[in-house]
Amino acid sequence: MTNTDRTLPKWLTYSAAFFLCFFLERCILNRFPLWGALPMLAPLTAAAVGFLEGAFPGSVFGLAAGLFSALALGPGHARLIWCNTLIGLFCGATVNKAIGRTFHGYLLCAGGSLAFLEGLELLLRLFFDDQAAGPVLSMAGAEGLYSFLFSPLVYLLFWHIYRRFRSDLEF
Amino acid sequence: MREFFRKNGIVVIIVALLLTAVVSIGSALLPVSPLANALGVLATPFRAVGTAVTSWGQGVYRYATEYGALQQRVAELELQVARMEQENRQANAALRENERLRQLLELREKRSDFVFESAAVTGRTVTSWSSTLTISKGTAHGVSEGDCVITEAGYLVGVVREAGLNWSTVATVLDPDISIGARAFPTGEDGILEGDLALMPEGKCRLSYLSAQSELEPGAEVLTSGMGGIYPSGLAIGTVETVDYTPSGAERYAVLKPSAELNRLEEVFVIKDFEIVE
Repeated sequence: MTNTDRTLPKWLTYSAAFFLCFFLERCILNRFPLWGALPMLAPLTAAAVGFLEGAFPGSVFGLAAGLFSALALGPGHARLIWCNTLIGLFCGATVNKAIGRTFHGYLLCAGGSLAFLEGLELLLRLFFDDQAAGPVLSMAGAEGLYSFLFSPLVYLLFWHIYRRFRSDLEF
Repeated sequence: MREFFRKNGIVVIIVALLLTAVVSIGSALLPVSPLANALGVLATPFRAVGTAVTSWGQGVYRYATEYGALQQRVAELELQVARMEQENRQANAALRENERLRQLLELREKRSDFVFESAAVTGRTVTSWSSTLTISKGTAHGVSEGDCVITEAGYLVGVVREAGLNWSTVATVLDPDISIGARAFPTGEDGILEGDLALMPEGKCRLSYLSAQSELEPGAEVLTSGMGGIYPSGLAIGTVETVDYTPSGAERYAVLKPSAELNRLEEVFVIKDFEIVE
């Protein structure tokens, strides 16, 4: 099998993993709130692909994942497109420059990505929606923490795919 | 990093920003984007499977953990039924008297005509910042944005926010963006039912804009007021739990416990059309 032959199955598998996470997020986990919050898995998938594959593939995957999420979730979620693109981009960029491709490194990337999303949500709600700081802060914190609990699972899923196609390359 | 940006990064970011703009404008122009509609239709069987699996799991869990509480609840309900039967007998007598007096005064009877569409609940909230349900009926069944959704007991569940072909998203009474005219009984005070982000995780909402002299007390019933004619009047929203002053002290607000058990809903009714005859 040539490198080009493996590229398509690998990205199709990544896409399938993303759809699995999306289905879990939308249809199963949304019935089990923790501290009143629900987890977000889509940004973790963009972070995982950026982390494992590098900045450019990560940003393109983030863009596609963000576009799909924005269209599926309906009005008010358009910012997911550029947010996920940036997450894929920066996770891929930092893994080569600042941190190694280790599990701890991914946790750092996932935590940073969630902090970025929750920080943005916080700013938008405080300054544009004029909402009270207390409830918004506690909801953002709860959502970020709850989502972070799933980061090892998402990492394992994507790492498994990455390793499988990478080890295929070695033969 | 700099090299990457120079080569590809800027292009990807520009594409992302352009797509964000296109999707935002598209969302503003179209009530439901064609892709969201298609995804909603395609996701319907998956949502149904997810709902069936999680409902079964929740049922088993509840049976194991809430059996004692359920027995107590049955005993309470038996007492409540007995009390309500007595009230019903009194109400029947009052109804007959009311009818007789209306005939004497030649008044027309006030009645509400609702056109219903039953729907199954196939999905729950998708973000932490809102409280929504997905139901199995959409524009193909005459459901449209702004329609009220109630339980079989007539308790208000929420309002249709988005209507796809065979699915709709309902913003529940807990959703922070909901705003419905409401009236408290027995005081008859008007207020606005609003969702509140701080109360949403507790399964409560608030009745805002009550006057500082409000005499509302815990236990009072709150119904839709029907002011403005957008929503029908008389739909039970919930019961007052606490009444307090706003930080400015100029107004009061009440915390409400919704009458509908939003976490356990399996079937709801959409009011597609209504007419209140005075």
